[in-house]
Amino acid sequence: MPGALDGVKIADFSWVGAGPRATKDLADNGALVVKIESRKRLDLGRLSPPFKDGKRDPDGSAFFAQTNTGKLSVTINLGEPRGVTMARALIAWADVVVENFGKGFLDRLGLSWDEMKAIKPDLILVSVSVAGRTGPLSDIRGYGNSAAALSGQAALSGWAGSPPHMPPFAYGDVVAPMFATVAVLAALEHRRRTGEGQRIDVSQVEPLMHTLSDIFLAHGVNGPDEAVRGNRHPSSAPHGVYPCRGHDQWCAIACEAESQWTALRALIGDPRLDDPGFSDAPGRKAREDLLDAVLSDWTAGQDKHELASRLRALGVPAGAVQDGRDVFTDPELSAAGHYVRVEHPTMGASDMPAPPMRFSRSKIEVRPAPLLGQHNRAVFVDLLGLPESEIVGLEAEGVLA
Amino acid sequence: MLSHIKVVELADGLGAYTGRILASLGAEVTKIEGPGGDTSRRRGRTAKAKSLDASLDWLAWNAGKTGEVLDLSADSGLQRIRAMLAEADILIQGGGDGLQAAGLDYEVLSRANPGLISVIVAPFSEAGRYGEGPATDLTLMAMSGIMNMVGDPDRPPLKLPGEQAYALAGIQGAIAALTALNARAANDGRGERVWVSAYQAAVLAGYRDPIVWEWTGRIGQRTGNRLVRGKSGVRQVWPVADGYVTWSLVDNPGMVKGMVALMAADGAAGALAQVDWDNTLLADAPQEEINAWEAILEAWFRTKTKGELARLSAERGLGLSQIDTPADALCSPQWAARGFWQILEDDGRRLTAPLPGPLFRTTAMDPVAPTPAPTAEA
Repeated sequence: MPGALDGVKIADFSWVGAGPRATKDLADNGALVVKIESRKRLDLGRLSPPFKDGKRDPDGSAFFAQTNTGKLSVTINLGEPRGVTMARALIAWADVVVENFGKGFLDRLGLSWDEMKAIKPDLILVSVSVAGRTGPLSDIRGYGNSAAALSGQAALSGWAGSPPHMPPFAYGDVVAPMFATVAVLAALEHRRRTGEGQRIDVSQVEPLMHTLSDIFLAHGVNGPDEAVRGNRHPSSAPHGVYPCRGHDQWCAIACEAESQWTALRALIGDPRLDDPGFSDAPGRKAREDLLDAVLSDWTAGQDKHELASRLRALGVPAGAVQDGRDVFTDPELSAAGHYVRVEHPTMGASDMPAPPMRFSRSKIEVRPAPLLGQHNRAVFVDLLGLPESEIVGLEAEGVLA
Repeated sequence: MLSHIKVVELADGLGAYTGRILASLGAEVTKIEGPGGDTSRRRGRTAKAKSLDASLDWLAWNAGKTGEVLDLSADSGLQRIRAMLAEADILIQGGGDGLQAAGLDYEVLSRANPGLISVIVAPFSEAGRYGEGPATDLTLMAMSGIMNMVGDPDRPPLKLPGEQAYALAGIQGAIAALTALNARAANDGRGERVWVSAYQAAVLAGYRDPIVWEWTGRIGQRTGNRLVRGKSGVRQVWPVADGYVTWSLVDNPGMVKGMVALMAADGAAGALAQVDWDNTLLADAPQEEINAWEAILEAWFRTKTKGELARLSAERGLGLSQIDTPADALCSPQWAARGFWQILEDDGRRLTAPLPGPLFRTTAMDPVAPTPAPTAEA
């Protein structure tokens, strides 16, 4: 089986998460992704824990490894004019260039959009930045939580009546690269049909707001609504997490249909739920505090996984609140082939996540992430056809570094 | 970009965002509902001032589509959908492969239209144990590992705002469809069937905790608004005169010194002015010392507005962001300059409201204006 994107060539200048997660999707589906890095300016993803054996090593970061599966790595010092020449050679080779540098950085290197187009007239250039490349905030640089802060996501997170909430992970680094993947794929289709390339500008904030379309539309119609925070649903009940056996163990239960509620009520068998007020969703919403108290009494002391399985078997939507270990060892994910075991030169055998989809005809292949500069020769000599002696010289002179 | 692409969608809730994304790229999306319409029309927020044929949530996810009501339990309905799929490029099904259950499996459909791409956006994988559910956005978020990280240590875990597992799955559905479109063009013109797992889409988003357990054996815990590094935790959210900002006392001496210099200019730096930030490792500082420093910062932050602080930070590269409410985001000059908010003008429902617009900016296409979501009239 071929990969869906076999033959697609990508020069990837991006780093950390917001670009690399996009090019990982493309590499796993067969695209040839050349990651341009530098020892002078290490991808911060390579410095991000956890590390193999706890040792800080640019080739030993599990975070980097899972974000860069299947790519080739070359090192180019873009501070050197001859380094920029090598970058131009990669742009001439590529169908797609991806970057998330600060605004103006590529222009200063002589690699503006117009200059790139002169090198490769039908090029697709994808830029990812915090607020986008236009507008009064286009100069701001990304620091962890900026996208959550500017999108309304932080203000909408947390409990009703409490300050904005910022959980310790960068969701803006997750959604924006998925939009960038959509952009690359749609642009390839457009180029096949018209012969034209294009320049694409992805903001990290806008995709977060896009995924909140329901809340923003309701805000526009009804005004602000603190009830969107927390775990409750605007029209369904029960809808929450309930305590289970052990420290900080919980099970989520949500009834969307009356048949689900009927099954749940029969299973709980608590006389307090015999009140006819609980017989429809508006009635349950009106009595939600009591409803949640009754459910909590019933779930407390039960094992979260057993409870969720038992409810699902009855057709009631339920799921254990899983921690990192629960997820990593989930049999559902094993059966799905979610983690693929690869052999990495530094990390050894390690499990890398695959895209969350399976094609009937196209192969998904998850391969190990590259060591820093591992493919200088394979890319510059074998792929671009430059003389080996020149590459050896440029490495020695710190240009390919 | 996709104006030549025809999409047929059967997605009552999960998967509807896939159609919305393809529509915003210019594809022609026809949504099929059963008699009486999607059950998800009756879930979510209602408009306070008027009675509508669908919740506001449903109207948001189904803008940009046209609609048709078909009874797939009747021969006439099956005939009609077969005719539509004979002409379509992409079929989106939400929840599972409902057409297969109705006797129209992919083999049958692709005989009539070999180029057809069939995307199924389901709660779980086809190979796994849970298949088509039951599941909701909340139960998927719970299982994903994300809720375990969101919220306060002394309160229950929280989901993210909105329906993020459904959103992530919806985007992956669009990625699946477009990936298959590339394979179709690059190879022999034949389409294929793709199954997308919403659970796996959500697990991928929670990128840190599973590998932390894999490589260190540590299990992550909720830390509220504290960013925990090394021995201590630092605040991420600060009240200011007119709202909140985000900034943290992390090991970036340039940013910390820049902030302290601003405070000193107001005569408000106190003990912070005496600290040698270049030789202080904040991750190793005792929590009591961090708390004392943060109290000085908080008192000064409260005298400033978020706009003022954001401007000072942008000028000096201090890494602070204002925290915008939805109302702030709706009237931000940044998104106005980029034309992000589009106005949904729904004359039939007498509804005018802002809706998030283009997915990204491109030199190849003007943004597609959203058309109102369809009615469910036969």
